[in-house]
Amino acid sequence: MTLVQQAAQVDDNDVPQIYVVDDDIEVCSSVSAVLRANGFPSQCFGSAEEFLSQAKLRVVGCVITDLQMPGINGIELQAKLREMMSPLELIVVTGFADVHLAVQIMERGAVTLLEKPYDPKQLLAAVEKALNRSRTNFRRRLETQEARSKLDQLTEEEIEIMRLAIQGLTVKAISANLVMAVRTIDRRRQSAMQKLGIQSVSEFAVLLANAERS
Amino acid sequence: MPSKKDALTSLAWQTIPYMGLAILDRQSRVCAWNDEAERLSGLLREEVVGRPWSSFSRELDPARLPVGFRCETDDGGTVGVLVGNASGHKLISYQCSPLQEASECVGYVVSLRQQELPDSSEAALSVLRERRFRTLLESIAHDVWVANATGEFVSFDTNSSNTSPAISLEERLALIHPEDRPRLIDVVQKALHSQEPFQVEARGLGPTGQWHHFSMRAVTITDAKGQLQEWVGMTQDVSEPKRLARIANRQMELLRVLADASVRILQCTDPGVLLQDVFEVTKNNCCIDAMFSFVGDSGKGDLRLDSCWGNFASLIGEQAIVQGCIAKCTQAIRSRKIVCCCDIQSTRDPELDVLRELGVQSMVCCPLIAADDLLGVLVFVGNSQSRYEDEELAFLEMLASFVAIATQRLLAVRQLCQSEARLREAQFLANIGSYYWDCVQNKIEWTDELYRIYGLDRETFRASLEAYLAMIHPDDLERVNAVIQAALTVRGRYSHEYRIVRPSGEVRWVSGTGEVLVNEENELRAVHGTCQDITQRKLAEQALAESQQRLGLIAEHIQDLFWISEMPEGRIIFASAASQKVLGRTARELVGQSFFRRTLVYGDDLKKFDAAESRQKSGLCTVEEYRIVLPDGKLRWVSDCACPLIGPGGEIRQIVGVMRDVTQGREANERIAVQHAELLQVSRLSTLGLMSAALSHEINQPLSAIANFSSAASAILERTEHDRATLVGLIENIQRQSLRAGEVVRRLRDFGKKSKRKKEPCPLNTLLEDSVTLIYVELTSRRILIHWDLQESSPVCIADRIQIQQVTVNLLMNAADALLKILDRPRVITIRSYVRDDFAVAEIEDSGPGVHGDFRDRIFEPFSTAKLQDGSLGLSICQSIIQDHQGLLGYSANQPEGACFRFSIPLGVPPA
Repeated sequence: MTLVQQAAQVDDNDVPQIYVVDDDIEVCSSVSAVLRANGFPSQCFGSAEEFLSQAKLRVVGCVITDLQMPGINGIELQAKLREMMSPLELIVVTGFADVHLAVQIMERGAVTLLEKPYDPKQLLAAVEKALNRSRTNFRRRLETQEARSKLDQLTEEEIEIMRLAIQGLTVKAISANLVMAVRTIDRRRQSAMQKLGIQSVSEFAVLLANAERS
Repeated sequence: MPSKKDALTSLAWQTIPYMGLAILDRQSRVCAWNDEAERLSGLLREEVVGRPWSSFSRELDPARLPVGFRCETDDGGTVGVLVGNASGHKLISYQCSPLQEASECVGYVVSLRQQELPDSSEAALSVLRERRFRTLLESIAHDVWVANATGEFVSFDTNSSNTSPAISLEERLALIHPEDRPRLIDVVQKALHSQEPFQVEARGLGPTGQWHHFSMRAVTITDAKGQLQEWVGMTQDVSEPKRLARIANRQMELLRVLADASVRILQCTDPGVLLQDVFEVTKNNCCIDAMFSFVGDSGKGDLRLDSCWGNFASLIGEQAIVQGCIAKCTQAIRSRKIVCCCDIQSTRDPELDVLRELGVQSMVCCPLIAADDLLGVLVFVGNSQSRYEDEELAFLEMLASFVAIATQRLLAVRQLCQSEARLREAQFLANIGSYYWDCVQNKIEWTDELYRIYGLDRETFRASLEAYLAMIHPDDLERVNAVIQAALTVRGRYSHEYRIVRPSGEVRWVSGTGEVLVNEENELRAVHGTCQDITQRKLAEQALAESQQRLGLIAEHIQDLFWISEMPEGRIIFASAASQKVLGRTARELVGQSFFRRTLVYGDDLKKFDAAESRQKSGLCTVEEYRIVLPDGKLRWVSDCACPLIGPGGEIRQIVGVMRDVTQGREANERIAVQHAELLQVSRLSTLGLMSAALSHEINQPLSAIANFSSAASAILERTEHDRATLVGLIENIQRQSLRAGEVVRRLRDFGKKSKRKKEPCPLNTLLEDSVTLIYVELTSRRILIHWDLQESSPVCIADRIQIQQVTVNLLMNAADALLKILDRPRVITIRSYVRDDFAVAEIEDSGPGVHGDFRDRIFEPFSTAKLQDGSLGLSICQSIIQDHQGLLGYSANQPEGACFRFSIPLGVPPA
């Protein structure tokens, strides 16, 4: 199954997943309690290893993880999730903040870093933010994937022609640029738009932008 | 519906006993204040309720907080001072969280925590730490070795002996004294066979080539199946304690001999018998082969050989030896001090040439000094013993003092006998004068002899009662008058002795007799009588009395107090001059007192003293150290060696003893102990610094759980219908978390406390768990997994909990450091507890690289692993702590990799 196909199974009506990872089981259950009381069901894991092996990782949602844990710690968990391109967003919680680690974690795209003890409201806000971001990112990534797979159907020549076309060049100008017959260029452009199922060059511009998004 | 604030208030009240809590209303006025808050702050509930929070709290600038404080700046946490009552301001950190009801602030919850101040600044501590550490390390000396099940050495951590691990077993055996070798081999082989722990003492060649006594102790380490894995042993140089014990025994033995001999010597009437006795005593007790004495008038330098004893045939010639000793005798006479020449055969002193040629090994010259008179020299010659110990010399010196006193007494007796004989001869011839006093005419007639006694001339002196009384020594006049008046009144006979003063000023003793004569009508007519000069006899008597008093002058140069008390009254009959030095009381103050020692003993030591005294009363010699109170109230440590003297009927006649001031040595030991404790405290405080991370983590865990649970509770309460069971569950969780927070604070507070240096039963498992918690953050930040393998029912050991926790924290930190090098496999520390024999054993095992071969031999050496900078102790200190607990700290390589440290502590309560 490709990522696109997998992703296609997830739609906005699905409940986003919230995972809590902390080696302190009491803290885990307290986080879970506050989430449940506010209408967010969640799942607890005692270690990053347990989480990685048991949880669904390719879903929209977020992970609230402790930073210091025996075995795989918060930073490594973040790296692992990134590596597998998981759409899960990360909220990192720590018993004592180390500035260096905090910067590292934020740079790598965590939603936020909460220092214990935190106001549960902050946590709830962070969870909402994380879920939104996860959903948005997921949708965007879906679009990117879609765009890329569409563009993959085109030949090199077709792409070249379309690129020049969205720069606003006329067919004539393109023909001069590529040293190709006007008719050939026209035919290739038609074929490309047919393959992509688009009506205008501006739609191609959007598609290309999506595909080239990192 | 009760408001949320009310619900939480009553909840906080009843359920959170270990946490200081206050509830403030919207205007920040205190509306609730629990018991723990009262205790922490010293502010009573009545004092604070209703007052605005700011009126008795003061925030502190986080930048100016003392070292060791952590200040939460987020989330409203503040460190502040509560300004309070008479007991002063308390430094409390408090954390304030708003209490919300329907997203409206209805008040605040404030949690209070006490902050403990570090004792002094870090810089001062590090200097102290360094210095004390060195002092401490110098006092540690022993070897620890590990051998496998078949007895082959695996590691040998040598410290004091000259054995090195590279040498083979045969070579090692060659270092053992040949006499002890078979016994040692036997014990070890038996132990290897039976696999029982053993202990053996043997002499071994020390680093300086002398025989040292070593005590070797070994225990077995077995695996879970009870299979013997290895031996862990300790070899300790016990020469010094042995030597001290030997000296004490020897002293006691010699003292007993001396006490016995002193009675005989002082009562002896024949100088020949006296010296024969002295010779026998020294021959039997000090390996003396010959003895001779010089006596004579030292003033004229005229000393002549008086007598010789001993087996001179074994030496070469009596005369030659006497000649050979003269130079040294002269030195002894001049200095009036004992002269001891040991190892004559190996010295180059030209004055000893003659003796060296004669094959004499040693010679001791003791001057015989009684009062200030030098009576002679006593010379002891040894042919079989090359040197004398200090206590033997002291013995000879004391013996010589007794001989001097006895000799002087004998001289006095001899003089007395001579003068008595002369008196008898001359009694009616030369020295008796007579008088006739006619009371009617008041005329006195004196014979020529009487004039001679009085040193008067018949021509110039007219005898009369008045003139006669004027001649009498003023001190005796009253007595003489009284005697005469009494005689005249009762008309009887009389006799008396008194002093007269001759016109030349010379004082003479005379003995007078008289008879009153009356007529038929019983009227007084005359008195007649005789008068005899007894000066010589009196002087001799005095000399005798004085010489007996001279016992008190023995050994004035000896520092130790020599005392004799008479039983059963315990009356002191003698105390030497050193009593001033030792007890701060003159001998005169002590003599005559009963059981004087007991009255001086410091209260805390009375039990010890009484035990020793009852042993003495049962006929045993004792050596005991206790404190005495000096007249100025100061305390002093003395070592008191006491021996009972047993009479012919088996009864204890006297107790003799020697008391020595040992304060300096004791104080040095105490100082080391105090330094040890302080060092531990210092290191603990710095470990606390290391653990400040753990502190915040450990406190923040339950606090954030509480925040979460109560927020969940709020959210549920906000709904119109809520599930009671869920709420109760949440509240129970809050309760549990607050207890947990309280427990964390307690643990840290305990660890920072000064050690009580008190050992008490404590469960080993809890101790190990607490230690891990203390450095939990350090361990997790290094991503170390702790694997627990504890005995189900915790072994209870007798230990100073804090000290053992420190050792455990150290071993854990060492393991954690070692594990940092591991990148390719899990970092695991296994912690084990079990019981082996009568010991509770804890093992800290890591999966690290293990201890490198060269280093393995030195791990217990001072400084090899000492890491002062981060506040941890070296293994050598850990070892000394464990040894202080009568346990062992051992190391073994772990299979297939890593290191395993284990310590054992005696069990307190045998496991049920």
